[in-house]
Amino acid sequence: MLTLPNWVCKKEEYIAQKDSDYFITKSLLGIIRMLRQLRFHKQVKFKCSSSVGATILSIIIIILCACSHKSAFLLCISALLFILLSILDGKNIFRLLKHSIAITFLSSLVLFPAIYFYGNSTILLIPVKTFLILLSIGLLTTYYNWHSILDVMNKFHVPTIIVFIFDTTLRYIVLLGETAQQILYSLKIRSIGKNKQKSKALGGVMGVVFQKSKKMSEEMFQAMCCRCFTGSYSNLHKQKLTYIDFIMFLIGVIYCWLFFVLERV
Amino acid sequence: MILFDRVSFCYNKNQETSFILKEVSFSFKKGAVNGLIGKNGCGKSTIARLIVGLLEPSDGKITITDEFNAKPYYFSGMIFQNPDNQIVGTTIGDDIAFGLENFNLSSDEINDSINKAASLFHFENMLDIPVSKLSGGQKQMLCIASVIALNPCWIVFDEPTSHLDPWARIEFWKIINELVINKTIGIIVISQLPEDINRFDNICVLNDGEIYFNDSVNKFKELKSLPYGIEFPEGWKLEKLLEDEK
Repeated sequence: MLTLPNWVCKKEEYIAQKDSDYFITKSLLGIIRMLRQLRFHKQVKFKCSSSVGATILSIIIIILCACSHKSAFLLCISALLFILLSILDGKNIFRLLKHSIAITFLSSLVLFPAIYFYGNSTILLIPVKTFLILLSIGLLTTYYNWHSILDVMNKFHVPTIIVFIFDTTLRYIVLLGETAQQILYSLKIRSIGKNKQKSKALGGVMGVVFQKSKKMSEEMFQAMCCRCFTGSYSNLHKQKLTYIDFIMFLIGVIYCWLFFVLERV
Repeated sequence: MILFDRVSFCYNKNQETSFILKEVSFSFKKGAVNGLIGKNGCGKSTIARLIVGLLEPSDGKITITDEFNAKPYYFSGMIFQNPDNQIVGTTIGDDIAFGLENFNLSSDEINDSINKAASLFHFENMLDIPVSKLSGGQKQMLCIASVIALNPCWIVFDEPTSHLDPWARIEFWKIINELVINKTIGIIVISQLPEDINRFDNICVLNDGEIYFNDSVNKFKELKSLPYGIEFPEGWKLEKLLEDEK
């Protein structure tokens, strides 16, 4: 019969000290979750339009918003964006507002010294502009998926190899993000008590992710060569313009006109 | 037919001791599932990469001929282990189209080939679906569809079932058997799973860079011993035990 040594039978009262892992949970995993949302979010069904009109309208709004010095024009833009936001379901509205407000708040903090010392109306408009630009990008990615936005680049004759690089980069960031997430979770599960050398653990995670990325890129290049890739890339997928695209172009033109009228006042 | 004639290969030419393959000679024929097995690091994947031309042999000669197709324009395709690393397009249609576009075919020819390959794998109504929404098994099937669309003479599968669930594996082998019966595409499957050995018609066993065995499955069954790291399927072991008891 097996006899256990005394030290094994001794009752042990070990309570692990709580360690703060906010850096891992909030920062790193947060970034990975955001990247996943960009590519895999549940897109709103909006079948009557291609993404061409919406992308152009978003670009116009971003440029005009960045150039504007008048609060009246920004109010006009916010009216349009809030109308588009109100069509979405509660979950998406909450998600978009949460992200936009959080980043606007951060940018306001950075701007705070400038507002305090040289406060004028133009500086005060910057957080509002940030909020509106973020909201418009959020709305675009909510209404349309990533690949349909990439197709707009094709439509505007952006070299297909650039579109291809954009797409594969985002895909591999997400895949590598998933790998990093799994390693971080396993690290959290195995971590007991306080760890004063978190940077060392993170170094290990980054090392594994880097090795994986190298292997993935090599394998992908070989797979492409096996399918006769010679350096040029073209995309067959073509989107047809619909009447809603033309309505969006028209809204873009109206906003351009509003910009010039209101900026003159 | 694929013919390896005294082929040697080493990754580092300065080190003569680092030969992955040492003067191997063997052949694969169409109309059968050709299996290539061996333990880790014995040179299976190197052979696959030599067949598709990703690597060049250090010594010897590899000949690929096609007795069923007089003028083939694409000799050998390869399916890698991890489907995520070989999907290029954003949608199913785009991914199947990728290789065809590289051949500079007309858009009608491309669409025709896409529809043919997609219908083989029941993707005909899913061409616009983003690949990110596919399951692991569907991704592997998409990789096979993308290579089959190119109408190759041979396809090399590098551990194709390792990412598939049991049901997807059954589906995979159904497709492979159809290709074998049609004799349109030659099949080479690299695998380490004993259950896959059951599906092979011919087996080539690699051991430390040399050919240990290269013949039919029936003759392979009769082998008394196998190199370290390779095992017979459990069913065969049981069969042998019962025969010995008789």
